Amino acid sequence: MNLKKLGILGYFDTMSNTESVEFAHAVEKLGYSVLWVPETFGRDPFVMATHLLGATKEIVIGTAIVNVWKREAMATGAAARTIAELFEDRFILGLGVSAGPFMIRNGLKYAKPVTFMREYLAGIKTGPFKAPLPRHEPPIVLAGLLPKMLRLGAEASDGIITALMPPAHIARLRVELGPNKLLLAQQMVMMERDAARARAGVRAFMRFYLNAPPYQRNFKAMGFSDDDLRGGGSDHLVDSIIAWGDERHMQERIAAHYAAGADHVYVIPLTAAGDRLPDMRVVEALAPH
Amino acid sequence: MDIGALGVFGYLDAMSGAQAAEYARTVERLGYSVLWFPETFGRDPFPTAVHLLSATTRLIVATGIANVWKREAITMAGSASTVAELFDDRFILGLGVSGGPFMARNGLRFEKPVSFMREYLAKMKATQHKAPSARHETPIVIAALLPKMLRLAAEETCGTVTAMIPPRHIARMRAEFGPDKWICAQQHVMLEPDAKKARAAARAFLHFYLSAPPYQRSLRAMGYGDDDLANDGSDRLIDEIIAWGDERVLRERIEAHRKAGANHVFITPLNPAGGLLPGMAAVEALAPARG
Repeated sequence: MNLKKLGILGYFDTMSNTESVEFAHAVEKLGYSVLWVPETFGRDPFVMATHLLGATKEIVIGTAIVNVWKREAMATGAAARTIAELFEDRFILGLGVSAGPFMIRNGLKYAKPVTFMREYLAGIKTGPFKAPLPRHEPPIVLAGLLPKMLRLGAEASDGIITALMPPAHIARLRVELGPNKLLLAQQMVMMERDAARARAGVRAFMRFYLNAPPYQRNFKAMGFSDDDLRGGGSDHLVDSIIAWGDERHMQERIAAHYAAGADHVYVIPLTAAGDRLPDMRVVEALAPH
Repeated sequence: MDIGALGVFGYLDAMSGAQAAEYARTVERLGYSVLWFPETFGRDPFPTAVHLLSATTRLIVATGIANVWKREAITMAGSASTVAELFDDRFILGLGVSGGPFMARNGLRFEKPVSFMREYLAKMKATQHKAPSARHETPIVIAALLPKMLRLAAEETCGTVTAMIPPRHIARMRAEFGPDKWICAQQHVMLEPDAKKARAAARAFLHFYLSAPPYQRSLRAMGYGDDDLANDGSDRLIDEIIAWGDERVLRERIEAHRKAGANHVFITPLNPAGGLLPGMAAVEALAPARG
């Protein structure tokens, strides 16, 4: 599985079936190495992964991320192995605990996320799978922001997938993870040269994250202050987290992640207007091909 | 959804992914309306459903059944909605509680199955799917053997999917259910005219079920005694549960389910040679497209 080339995430919950498949075709043709599928409270990520893998030829599909509170560990393990057997070497299982208040608001339990994740990984590893096995076990990466979860990712999984983390902190993560673990870095991008418009668009988008405790804690751990976190984020925070501007600026930010030690970078293309569909100008401008 | 008259079941975990897709294409070509497949402790039913639906063009795919102890109700609802939106009117969600010792042996909790299922269905109904909705609501059926679960199926779902229930008990079920609910009746079939061979293969197959408490209770409730359940099944039990013989015998049994009130019958084609791979001779012999 070669992850060196740029990857991309699609918010499939706002796309129709046809739009989802067209997006997958487009990003495969443009040379992206991985198409990442999120899970919130809409589409099932395993269903989408299977659907998109069937519609494409070689692109890898990864989950960013599957929510561990929604299904038993053995069910997650079985779903990942089912897909890996159907599509050899084309599936990555990204797992995450999401954020407490968001889970509870949606009727899921949330307690001791690091311990839970540790047991969950063990449950996946030892869970029954009485069906033809994939030739290779699918790689598992954890969404890790804070030290304990990062350590668990380094110890008990194949690596870490980041969120809202600037290149300077990717370098620190690489040191903690050592050279052999996967480090997959997320970078949000917005093709918008006008600073006021760009930042307003980012703020509308960031509100969710700035209210979520794990992100708040991580922003503070990365040196942002309480002031930075207010009102959808200070200019300093917004500019550090989201690469907005022209193509060159976005390319530089992506290159900075690789230089800091990321094995793979994936972009999330946003628009200042908060459009339902991804900005295909950006998708094309950043295309590896 | 027009569920059609005759479906077929497949133990897909005994096949590779490629073989499962080939089986789906074959049963579609042969005119079966629904391919039912189980969830045990192998493949996940939702990626599997997508795989089978992608490989075919009009076949309905149904879980028979997806296990409610393995995922939250909100997850089950989301997965079913996702499949239903991708493949319009081609997915049936069969749900079941399976059997207690079997669950416990595999590390899942199992308690108060009827109340659990009742709450599970309510939670599924209350789930908001934050993504494009399917054009048609996904039909939900539940696996019910015993009276309380049957009542729940009648009250809260489209109907029931049976397991190892002979036609005369289907008639009783239809009377309880009223005329509008689905009864999807399972019928095991084995194209093997030799009684000795057929019953030996049937016993090897039934070994698992006859040691599972919900099946034991269901079989006892239908009037089978300890002697019938011992040693992997008496001749009487085997002959009533599994239609073995020539094509005519198999067809008569299917017809008996229809007369008793099943609106859909699905065959589970057993292989006289044993194992879980489908007896393809029976699948072909009973094919609706063959007339």
